[in-house]
Amino acid sequence: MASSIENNNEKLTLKSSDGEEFLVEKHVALQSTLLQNMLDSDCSSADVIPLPKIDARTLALVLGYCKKHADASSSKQGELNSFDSEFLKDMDMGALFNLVLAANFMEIKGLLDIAAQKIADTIKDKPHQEVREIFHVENDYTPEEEAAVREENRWAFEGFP
Amino acid sequence: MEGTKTKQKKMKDDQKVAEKRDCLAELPEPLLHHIISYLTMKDVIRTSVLAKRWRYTWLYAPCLTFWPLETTRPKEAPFITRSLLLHKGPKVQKLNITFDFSTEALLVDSWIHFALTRNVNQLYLDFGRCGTYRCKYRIDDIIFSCSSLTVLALKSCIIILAVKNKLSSLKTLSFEEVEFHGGAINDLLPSCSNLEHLSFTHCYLADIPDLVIMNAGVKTLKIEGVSFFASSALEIYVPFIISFELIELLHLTSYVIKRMESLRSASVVCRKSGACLERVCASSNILENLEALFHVKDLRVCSCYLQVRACSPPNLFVLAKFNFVLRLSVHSLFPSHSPNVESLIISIEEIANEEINDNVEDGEYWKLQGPYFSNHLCNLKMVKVYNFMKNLNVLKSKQATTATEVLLEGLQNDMNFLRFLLKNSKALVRFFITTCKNVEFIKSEGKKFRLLFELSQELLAFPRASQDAEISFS
Repeated sequence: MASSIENNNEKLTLKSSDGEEFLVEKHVALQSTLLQNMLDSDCSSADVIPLPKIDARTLALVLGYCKKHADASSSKQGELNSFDSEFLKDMDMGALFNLVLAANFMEIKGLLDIAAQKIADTIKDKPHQEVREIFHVENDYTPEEEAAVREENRWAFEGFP
Repeated sequence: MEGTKTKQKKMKDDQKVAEKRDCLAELPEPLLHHIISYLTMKDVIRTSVLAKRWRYTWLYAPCLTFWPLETTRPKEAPFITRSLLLHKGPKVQKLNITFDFSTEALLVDSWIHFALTRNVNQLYLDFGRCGTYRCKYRIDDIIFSCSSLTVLALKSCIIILAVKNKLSSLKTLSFEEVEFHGGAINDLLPSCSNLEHLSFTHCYLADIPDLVIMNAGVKTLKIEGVSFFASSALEIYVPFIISFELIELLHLTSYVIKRMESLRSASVVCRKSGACLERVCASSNILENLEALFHVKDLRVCSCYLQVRACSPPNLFVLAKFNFVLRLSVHSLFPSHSPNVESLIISIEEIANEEINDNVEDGEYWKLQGPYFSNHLCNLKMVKVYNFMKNLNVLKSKQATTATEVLLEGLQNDMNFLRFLLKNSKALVRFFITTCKNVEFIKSEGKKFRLLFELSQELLAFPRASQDAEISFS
């Protein structure tokens, strides 16, 4: 118990790609395996830790997630699950991809999984034309090539236009 | 002023560009693979027409999930076979196949061989919702020599072991609707030296006298509805277990459950109704083992087991009734061995008429209990009682009238128990009582409402050791 109180008092500073600084409690930061490894490997907590790949808006979201999960005790699993499903609701694709990249970089498994699941759910059961539109995938096949690839894998396209 | 405007405009333009960018193209490959691991193979293969760089992506997907196709059934097996034959990835992390098996044993064998050649880590095989007893798939033994496996989950198949096992990496093993023949399971378990999670759900152990579980590393163990011979024994030696569930397993001659000091969560439940009570009383000694619950914080025990405890001779001194029938044994519920219980969940089961024994002395028991037990309740924070009044209809058959007063009297023993809990639980935070929604014979809503009102008034008037406890009666 004593050690967790001690941890609570320690804070560290994270710096986003666009230069904004975030003061974070250590136990919140420990949700990230990347930060955990950095702290374990003797990086002084007084230093500012730069996160050059993550902008301020995304980092704020990430830290919101970490704080919720660090503060909730394991007995509140149901509450955390509903928090998780609300967390990504109505998020636009750009923000969601920034988030999944940030979670991947900072190694926050829970966040990575829910964000990846959300992206996968968007692809699921949709005709490929619609998937292209949603993710702005540029179709570089000629119509003939596309038909050929489709024919190659036609067994997977049953029931799709 | 103007400066901020241009800045705002620039930001808007940036945002537009950001919205238009092909986000998927920016993902590093492992991350893309992680995302498509949430898709079934049909969706993964269909990504091949998105753009040129997607054409071969599916061939290297590390997680393959096959779900029954919505199209005609005969196409399913060829679909899976073809996908696996074409797959190019050097490594398969996870293979998950849900397939309604009928006679395609050779094909299914070839899928398992495919997984093994790619050093599969997680293997989930479900052979079916329509699989009848006769045409269950017999698992190819080679699966049990796969040393790369960390998770193995099998559903609806038969296991007859012939080869020596090498499941040394396995951490999670789960069986559902699996038949074991020729002592297969007792040959299999000892080879899983690193097993942490083990579960049996509705399995059938054909010709095995005893089930012996002694994998030292097991942390969670669940045994639900497993069929043995009645003369069989269940032996469990798992010193570091954290969570233990035993569901609908009442008929065995002998239970040996040893050394569970590390247990934190336990559930001993019988989902079937009162019919099993007799059997339980006759033979079971399972509740002796609740002594293992010393550190448990989360405890579920169902009425049948409490009944057993009440019947076993050494503890006859502590009998009380709950809903006429649940003769609670204090020793089993709050044994002096188990002072750490934080939450108590009681679900009232239906009881047959002949089980009723409304001995008033039993009911008075709780009224007399006080200080001695308050030490054992000192950590109790949450109480939930489900299906309160479930057995009121039994009362109906005994009484000519169902006047509210008669019903209240019938519930008096139960109320005494609740009173006991409230009076002695100093740390109580939540106290939830949910009444059974199908009390058939109280047809008049007015009468039901009056009964509930009277009960809740009575409940709220009870003395409480914890003034802040939230009480809910619904």
